Amino acid sequence: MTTADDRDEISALLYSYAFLIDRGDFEGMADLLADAAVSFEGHSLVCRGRDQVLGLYRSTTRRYSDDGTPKTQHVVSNVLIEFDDHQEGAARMAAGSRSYFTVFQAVPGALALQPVAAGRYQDRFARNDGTWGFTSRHVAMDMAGELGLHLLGPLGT
Amino acid sequence: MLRETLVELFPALVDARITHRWGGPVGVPRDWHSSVGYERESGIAWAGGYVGDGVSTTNLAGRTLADLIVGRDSELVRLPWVGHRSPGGSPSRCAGSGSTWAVGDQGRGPHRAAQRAASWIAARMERLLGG
Repeated sequence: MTTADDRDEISALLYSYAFLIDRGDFEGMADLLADAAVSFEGHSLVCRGRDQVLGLYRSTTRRYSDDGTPKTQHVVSNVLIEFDDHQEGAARMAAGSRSYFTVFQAVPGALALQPVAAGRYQDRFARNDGTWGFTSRHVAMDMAGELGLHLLGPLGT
Repeated sequence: MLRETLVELFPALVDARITHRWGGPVGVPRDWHSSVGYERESGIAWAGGYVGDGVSTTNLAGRTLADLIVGRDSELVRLPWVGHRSPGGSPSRCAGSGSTWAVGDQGRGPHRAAQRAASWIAARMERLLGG
């Protein structure tokens, strides 16, 4: 596998996340992150494993009943992938990436098309049995706009 | 939307019939800081602006108001939210500030709103992880 192949495969993981969440396929996204530790900038808690990741997204992210999606578009950009040191001629086994995310949302009758959040992903990847996968995802949300129709709260008393 | 959220959190309730519904406004001050106070001269006392956290905060507000009204010098009446006033601003600038959660922080920039959102997500994580 060439460096380009490795980069393509890792990039596909980054972009797959965006497609899955925008499709409302939280289960698929939890599969994608099943071996990853998921954390947020400024907070020490870490979600690990498919069930915790799925629980996190189900309890925080709104899905609309008419189409089952969050009515968002996650755009992943400025992707920089760096491979860990490895022996000459040996397969690359671990890598890290930095990228930007921008979340657009439009909810007919409730929210005009607009960016609702922007930030950075810091991710780690490992290759097991010849396939690259996430081992960690750290989310740094830098800017937030109108998130009331993307996240599930806070509402109530 | 509430029903949708309910089923998201408790999938077993998907077929449950909801027999009673209640709704009410969420009080959101311009600076998102709740407050309690008492003006002895006018006899007017106030407490509110809990921004969704009223279940626990009203208890504190009630005990604080009682001390203020009877003139008891307790540690409650020295808390920073006693007598706090939300800064002024034109009503149009603040219109709709109670409608959604991010708006209250937008006056201080999207970075503050992002911190708030991340903290809220972390709180959900804590609950999820049994913290």
